[in-house]
Amino acid sequence: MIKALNLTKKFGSTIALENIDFTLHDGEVVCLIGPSGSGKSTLCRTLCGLEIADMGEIYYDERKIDFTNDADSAYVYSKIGFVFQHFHLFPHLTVKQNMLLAPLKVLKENPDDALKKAKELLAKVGLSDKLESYPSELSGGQKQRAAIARSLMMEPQIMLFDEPTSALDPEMVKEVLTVMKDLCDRGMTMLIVTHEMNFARKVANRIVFLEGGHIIEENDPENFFLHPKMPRTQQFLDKIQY
Amino acid sequence: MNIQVILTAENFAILFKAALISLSIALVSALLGALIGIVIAFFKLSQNRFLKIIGNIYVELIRGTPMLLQILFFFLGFPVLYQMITGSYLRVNIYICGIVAMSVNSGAYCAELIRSQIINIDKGQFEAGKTLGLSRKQIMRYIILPQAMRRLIAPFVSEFIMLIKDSSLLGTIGVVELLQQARLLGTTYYNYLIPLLMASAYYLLMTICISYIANKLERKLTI
Ligand SMILES: Nc1ncnc2c1ncn2[C@@H]1O[C@H](COP(=O)(O)OP(=O)(O)OP(=O)(O)O)[C@@H](O)[C@H]1O
Ligand SMILES: [Mg+2]
Repeated sequence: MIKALNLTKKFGSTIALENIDFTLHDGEVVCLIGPSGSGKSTLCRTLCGLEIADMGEIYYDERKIDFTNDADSAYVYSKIGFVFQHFHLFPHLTVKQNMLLAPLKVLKENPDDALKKAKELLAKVGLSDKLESYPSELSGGQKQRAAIARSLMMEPQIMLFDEPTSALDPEMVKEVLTVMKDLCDRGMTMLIVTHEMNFARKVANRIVFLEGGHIIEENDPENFFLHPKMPRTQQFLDKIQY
Repeated sequence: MNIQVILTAENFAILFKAALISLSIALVSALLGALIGIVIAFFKLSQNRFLKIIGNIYVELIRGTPMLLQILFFFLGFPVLYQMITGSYLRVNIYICGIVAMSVNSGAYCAELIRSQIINIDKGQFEAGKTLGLSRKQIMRYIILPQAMRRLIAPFVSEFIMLIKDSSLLGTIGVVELLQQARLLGTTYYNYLIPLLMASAYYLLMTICISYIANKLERKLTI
């Protein structure tokens, strides 16, 4: 479980998040949506210490986290996986080496066991034949699936996704969403920033709508899309739905 | 004056030996300079303010003064300093002195090259490592440095070529490197033109060969 209380994050004079209270419960899938610049990425990144909040508190389970403290950070990164819009595979390493690096260096796993796990995960994301490929030899969709598999190597309890399909050509979006759907079905706790409304509606337990650094509405998917509580939400939905 | 008198195998051999001296001095200085560069780059990138300041002062001091002055400092200035502090007389070896001066100089330029390559690695690479649970040290060692090293080959080679050419300044303190040898031949024959052209040929031979090898190496390592 991740809980944030009264979270505020500024970049210079821009207020990216203001007094946000947010909880991600175990087993829950939450989709974060909102217009560009509303603070979706910042929320995701602040929750896991990629940005340091100016104010507010973050709890993982019952542990209060100070991201400037190495032990707290290590605790968080043992629990979560993060998937980036631009994949951030390590270009000088093969898919296999990308996947084995953290398990071997952080968890000190046995190399044979880790390799076995890597092969199983690659099979699950449909990349069995890419074990020895370099990232530059993969398509966008394949890169993102490899990046997801790399995260899963660390056996996270929570996965955070920041627009995992936004950098992809349209025909590759589905293969990545399918992998994510599969994770949902297996009960992974997930926080997903996405513009894929149909996907959000299908997989989310809860939708959080952000604008101007504020949570405007939190709702279950049915009500969010059909009967939003807030006029702002309706305006946003009208704008994006053709 | 007959050109054949100067263009002898013997004179080519003499200059060849001097070219080897230039090359060796440049090579040793480049290696030591790279080591100094790594240390200073980490000082400059360190969170520690004191180390950062030391790194900055080092780089600015070296890049802001002429190399010839630095060479003369180690040859003429440093012994005075040494005598003031210890009271005893220091006899400097011109080769060691030259290598120290050139390494110290190259270290500052290498530090900047290394630092800029490290900060130019996409921030996402750090972040991906971080969210996978790798420590700062592990991220540097397994993710950032291997990528930076590849991109450093070309600038390091240019730096090495610069050092080969700059080693000609060591003639000032009495090292008989390639240019100094050419001047000595010029004095012997009362003709500087031919020895200088011969030395140019050797400089070009060295720099072109090194560029060629570096190109091959870089192509092999970039992915
Ligand atoms: N590193 C940064 N430096 C300065 N300002 C930033 C930085 N990151 C975000 N911001 C600002 O904070 C606000 C929120 O940005 P954020 O990236 O969280 O929005 P977003 O909802 O993810 O948008 P998008 O859909 O375009 O990704 C924006 O005004 C943005 O300009
Ligand atoms: Mg964003």
